[in-house]
Amino acid sequence: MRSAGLALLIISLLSFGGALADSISGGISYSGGAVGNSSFNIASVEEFYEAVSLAGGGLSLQPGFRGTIWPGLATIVIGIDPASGYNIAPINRVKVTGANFTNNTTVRLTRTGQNNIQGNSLTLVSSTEITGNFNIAGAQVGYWNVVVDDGSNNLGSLTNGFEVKTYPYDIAWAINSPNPFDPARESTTIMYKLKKDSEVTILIFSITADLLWKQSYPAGFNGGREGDNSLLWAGYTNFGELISNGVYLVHVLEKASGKTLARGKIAVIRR
Amino acid sequence: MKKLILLMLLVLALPAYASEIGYTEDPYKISLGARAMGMGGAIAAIADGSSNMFNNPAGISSQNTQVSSMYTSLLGDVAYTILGANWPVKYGPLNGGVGLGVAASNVNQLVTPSQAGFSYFDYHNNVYALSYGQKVRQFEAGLRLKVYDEGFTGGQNYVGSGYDVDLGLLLPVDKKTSLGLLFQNILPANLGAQVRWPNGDTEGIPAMIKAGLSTRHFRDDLLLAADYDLSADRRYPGRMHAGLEWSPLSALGLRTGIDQLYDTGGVSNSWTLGVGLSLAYFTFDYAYHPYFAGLDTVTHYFSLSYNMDRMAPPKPALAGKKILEIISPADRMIIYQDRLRITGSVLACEVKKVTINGIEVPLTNGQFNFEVPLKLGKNLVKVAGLDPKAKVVKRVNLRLLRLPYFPDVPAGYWAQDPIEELAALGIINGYPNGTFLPEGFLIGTEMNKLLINAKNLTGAPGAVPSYPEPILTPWGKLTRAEAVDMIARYAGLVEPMSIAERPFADIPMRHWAARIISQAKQAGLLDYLTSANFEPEQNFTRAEAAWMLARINEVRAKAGELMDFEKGYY
Repeated sequence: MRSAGLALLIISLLSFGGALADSISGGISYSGGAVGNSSFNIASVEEFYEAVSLAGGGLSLQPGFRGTIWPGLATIVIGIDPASGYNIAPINRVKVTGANFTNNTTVRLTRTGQNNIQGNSLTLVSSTEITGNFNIAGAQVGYWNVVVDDGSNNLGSLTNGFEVKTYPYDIAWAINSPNPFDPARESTTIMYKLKKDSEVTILIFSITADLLWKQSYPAGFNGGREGDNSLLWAGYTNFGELISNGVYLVHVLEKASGKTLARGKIAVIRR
Repeated sequence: MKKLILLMLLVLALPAYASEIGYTEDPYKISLGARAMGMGGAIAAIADGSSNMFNNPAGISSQNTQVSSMYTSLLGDVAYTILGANWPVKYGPLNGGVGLGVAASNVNQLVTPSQAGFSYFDYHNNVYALSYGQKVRQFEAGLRLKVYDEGFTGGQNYVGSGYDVDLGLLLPVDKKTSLGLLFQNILPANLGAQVRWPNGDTEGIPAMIKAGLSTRHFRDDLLLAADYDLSADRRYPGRMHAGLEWSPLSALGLRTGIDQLYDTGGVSNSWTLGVGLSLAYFTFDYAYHPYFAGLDTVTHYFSLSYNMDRMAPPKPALAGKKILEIISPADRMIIYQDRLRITGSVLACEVKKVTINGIEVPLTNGQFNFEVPLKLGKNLVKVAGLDPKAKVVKRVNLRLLRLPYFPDVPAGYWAQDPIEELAALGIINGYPNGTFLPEGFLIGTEMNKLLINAKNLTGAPGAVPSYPEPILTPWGKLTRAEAVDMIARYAGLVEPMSIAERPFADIPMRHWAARIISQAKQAGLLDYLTSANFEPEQNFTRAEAAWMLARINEVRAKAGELMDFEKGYY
């Protein structure tokens, strides 16, 4: 698939090159990694690129490339830096490069069957660069597409451009991110690993052993599947109150045996 | 009592003034100490514990010096430590006990994940307490000022602080039973009783009422206790704690209880177990406390305490020495007065006070002479000698049986014993002027009442018989034949079909009551008759009735229990 995408991109560039030979010079090369299915729509000269590169491999336009990028047409995403992150915490100050970025441009990570991860705190550095944060805590491990949207249904995407990786923490741990968190403003993602598919019950206690929240998850699905699991907790107890500053204890139980599979500690600071 | 109810309502109304962003967690919400935990958390009404300054501060008002500690790893993650001491104080108007301590809960190694890996920080919730308790009239009262220090250190730095006050009461219901009330965090938020955080946010400190009852039985070897928690936060339901402590040896306490826990909108029960071992002034307590069905994490509580009131062995100077002497009365006495003077002497200078039934009695040159009231029946009079630290060094128990006195039933009267015994048991009564009239004649309704009284007291299966046919009216005087007929049938004797000979010379074989009189004679109910004649038409006297009733098996058993000095006094 990557080769096919690359071929499409090269063909696309070459065809434009044929039409507007005076405005294109230099070359294009592919150095491995995800490329995506971005297309260049070159109709008039707006900006001049000396070099655009995709960190961690991928597409790079070699120095000397001269092309023209036309505004108001397709949004282009060429690269993302860093191109991978661990699913235990948000990844911040991510640089997305491409073309035709505007103040309305948003960036998200997508993957089939998963909720999109919307970039936040986006900063438009230039029409070719946006920086922002992605909360990939608890995200499913694997490759995600980088999708840039100019707000007018002009999408540019970098297929499998970002890799979410697992972090090798102790299997007896349940961790959460952010930690501490402010339940008045955000939720926290509780994450833990299971050795095998199991029906589990999550218990959250106060430090005086009041059982504040309880939820069960079936085996084989998020919450009860082998490998990484992640749950969102908004900080409301089963007593109907929003939790206060302090620490809350998480126990992940195997429902059938009552055995504690993982434990964690959630901190709350309402700033 | 009205003031108490008003105070309870006030405490429950306090949350109306409370916080902006919820409630802080009060480590004092749970009962503190391994002894309390072994009894399911029921501790509010127990005054003799070494952890009173952490539970009901009223308990320290009359305690000697105590040092208390506890450690547990709650649910495997919260390091709970308590450490404190209380001691007696007498200064100006202060005449009670002062306590100082800290209940610290710490959670370490909280994880902040990031793309670079993990960083760590710590949490603490420490509550420093200053307590004071004092006796006020017949009850004990205590106040506890708590200073909260809560927050995060290490990778996070965010610390809040605040203060609040607890009020405790201990009220003796009787010598074995106490009522405890603990009003936690009674100050309203607008008096500053809240935890304030660096950004200006404030959290309320949750008000709670704990009401407890404790009672001792079986020579004080068995302690039963129960508490009920009522939270001012209506989202949290009331919860119970109940437990018992059995002390087969003075140095050993075995405990169990049920601790009700808040459980996702309701409550659930957890069984607890505990043991306490004492050696001289030191006590080690342990409690086993599982939390929630299906959770494999068990919490173990450990306490070590030093208690000057506990287990103090007799001082060598007192060992084998005669300390206290009772001059009058002797143990196991039968008394006819409703009040009795207890006189005695203190023989050892170590004894500074003497109490009789818990009341301190005046000593004059080491002598005491104190009058105590006696109820009808069995009375236990406890005389105790106390040392300068109010510790009991000698205890003498007097078992006294009070029987009713009737001036017309003189000593040696042929039916004196059954009359006094049945009167003490309440089967037969004297007259309001104090007499018994033993030779007075019994009428039918009186006999009926006697038999009903006997049946109610003894639970005897026999039915109260109706009047025999010769009686024309229940208000008529009973003849001896009629009365014997009634008592014999009540005693379960069955009239034979025939008899072989006259039971008495003046009872012909055809007499209407001959057969039942014969049975009564054989059963020994008529042994008081020394003549060969029965005189069936003779009016039946109250003394005869007492004598005959006392020969019925069930009544005789009750009278035997009454006269047994080894039973029923403790």
